[in-house]
Amino acid sequence: MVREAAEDRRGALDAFVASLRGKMAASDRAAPLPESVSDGVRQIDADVDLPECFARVAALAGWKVHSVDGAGLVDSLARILQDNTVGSVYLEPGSHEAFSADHVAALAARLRELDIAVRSIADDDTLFSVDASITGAAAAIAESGSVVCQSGAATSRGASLIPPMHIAVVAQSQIIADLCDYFGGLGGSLPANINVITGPSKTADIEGILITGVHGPGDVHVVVVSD
Amino acid sequence: MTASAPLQKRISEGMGNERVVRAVRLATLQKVSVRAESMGQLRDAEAIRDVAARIKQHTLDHLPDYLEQFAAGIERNGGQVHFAHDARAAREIIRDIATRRGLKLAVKSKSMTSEEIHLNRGLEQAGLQVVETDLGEFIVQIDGDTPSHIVTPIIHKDRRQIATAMQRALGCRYTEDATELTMIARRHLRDIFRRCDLGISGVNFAVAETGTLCICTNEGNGRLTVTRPRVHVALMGIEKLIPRMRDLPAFLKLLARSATGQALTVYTTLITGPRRADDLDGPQELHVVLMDAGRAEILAGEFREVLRCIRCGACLNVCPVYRNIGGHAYGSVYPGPIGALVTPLLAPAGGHQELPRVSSLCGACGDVCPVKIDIPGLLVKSRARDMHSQRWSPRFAVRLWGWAMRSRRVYRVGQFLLRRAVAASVRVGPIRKWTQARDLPPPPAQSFRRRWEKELRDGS
Repeated sequence: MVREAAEDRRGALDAFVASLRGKMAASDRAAPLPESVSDGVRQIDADVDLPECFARVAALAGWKVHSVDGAGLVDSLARILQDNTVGSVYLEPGSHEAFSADHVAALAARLRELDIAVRSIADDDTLFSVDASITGAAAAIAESGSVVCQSGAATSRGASLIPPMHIAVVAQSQIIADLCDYFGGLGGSLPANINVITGPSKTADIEGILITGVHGPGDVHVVVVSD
Repeated sequence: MTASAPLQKRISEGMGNERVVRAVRLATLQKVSVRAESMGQLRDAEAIRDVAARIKQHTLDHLPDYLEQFAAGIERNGGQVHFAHDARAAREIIRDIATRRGLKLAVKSKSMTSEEIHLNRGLEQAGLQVVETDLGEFIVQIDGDTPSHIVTPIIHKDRRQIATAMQRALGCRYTEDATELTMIARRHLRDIFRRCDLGISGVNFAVAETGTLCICTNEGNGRLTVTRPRVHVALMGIEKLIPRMRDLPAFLKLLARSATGQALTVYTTLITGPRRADDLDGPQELHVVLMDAGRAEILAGEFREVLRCIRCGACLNVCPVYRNIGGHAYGSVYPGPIGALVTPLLAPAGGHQELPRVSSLCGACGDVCPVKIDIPGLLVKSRARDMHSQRWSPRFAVRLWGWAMRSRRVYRVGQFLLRRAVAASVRVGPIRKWTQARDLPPPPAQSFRRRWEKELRDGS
């Protein structure tokens, strides 16, 4: 039954494509793709000081940027949560070794001492109730001050979206120069969901007044870890 | 060449509404300013426009191939592809997807294509509750209104109207504070996001190489729409395709700058199929509805390049006509310069053939279009195409003018009469109304020719 429906659908599309070819054959136009789609499009060269550039642009985009070395990561994260009077947090390692299961275990122990509740399952009850989430990232992009989060066996779509505060942990070595580099490097098998995140959720629909935290997190932090 | 009564009425109403004109003027001028500043930050904005225009034109010129490649990619990743010949077919496909699965609560992120096909009404008739989740569209929906700008749908509404609409529809307390209003909407919609089973989105760019949908948003409702419900339906016109992932940056670097002056929208979401077997969350099904609805005809004709449009709204913001009449005057889902051009092309029998004349041909739109659509040139072409279908009086008037211009004597007599007519026109005749809000300079005592002749004769 399902198979037939799929064939019907394909049949309709195939028929359309064939008729389109027929209609267009008469006009004989065929512009080529430009030889390079990054020449003139690239804004940041790879030899730039990427962590400095990323920190600067990310701050302009609305991220609160923290720079730490590996040893100080757990302390830093605990302090950010305390400074923002977070009562409960969802921790999601698994994107990159910058925020690994070991970091999460150490952090969880620390937070217990500080009376901050730690959750580790990405279900609705958790995501819709916690004050904050901490995740790793798949990459960061200096040109735009963006953090890339993607779906996978250990990484949810909701962690960087539902709680009102999101902290992304990124290693310096994960910072890519330009969007051209990031998209040029995407190939092969892709995860089902990738988000290139550039600052807090916002709108200006009401009289052009800028308001943050509309549906996605309004308070976004990125912790850049030097390796 | 007077516009038809309904169009004329809409234009007069638009211009006559001082509050809306003021709001639109303020908002569009601000957008023009931030766009210029943002584009100025690029090393070579013209180079990017050129690359983007060429990628789009190439894709359109080879669209059948890219459609096939894209469909194969969607299916390879576990998604389902549907083809809709027209608006009605698209509504039926989406309705059937919903009813066959017993889906009840649909959330929508902003999609002009879904406005084009009047999707909400179709789904509601089938018994679904449909909730717009983009803040501007949500307010439009609860107020029974229609959007007036393709990027900022409630550019024509002020806080008072929004507060009133929300109190009436949601039963919340009356507040004009923009943050409070937004938080009220957020709480209301969060509950809906927890319960929804169908998510309907548009698509900004569809990557043929990988079967990926790219959706650019700012609020977060778009992400929730495509991740929370168990079924995600993405509706797109066939012209949204681009060839490869590495072609995306040229568009991403122009879209948000052209629309709102941002370098990028807050969320650039790339969807490649429904959730994988071991994913923690995400929709179980992904349906991509590819829609023709008039685009194939445009593709086959001499206006193909209008399909490059990436819906940035820059042409609306810069247009002096749009700024003064507002979006609703166009009577179409797509207003402004691009709307005036594309509406009669998408729907040749829809009664929109006068829209290309709702333009002063100043050319500002062509200058700002990120994909270099020659909107002014095509508007003229569109008008020329429509000449043969116009009433006889404008065609006759043009012939008469041509005859008068070719004869010196007729020209001089005409000049003499014209000076007298202009002086009288403020008191009598068809342009009396036009002069009520405008000053005409007093006509000179002598024609330029006479002065020229006199001064040459007397020697100067």
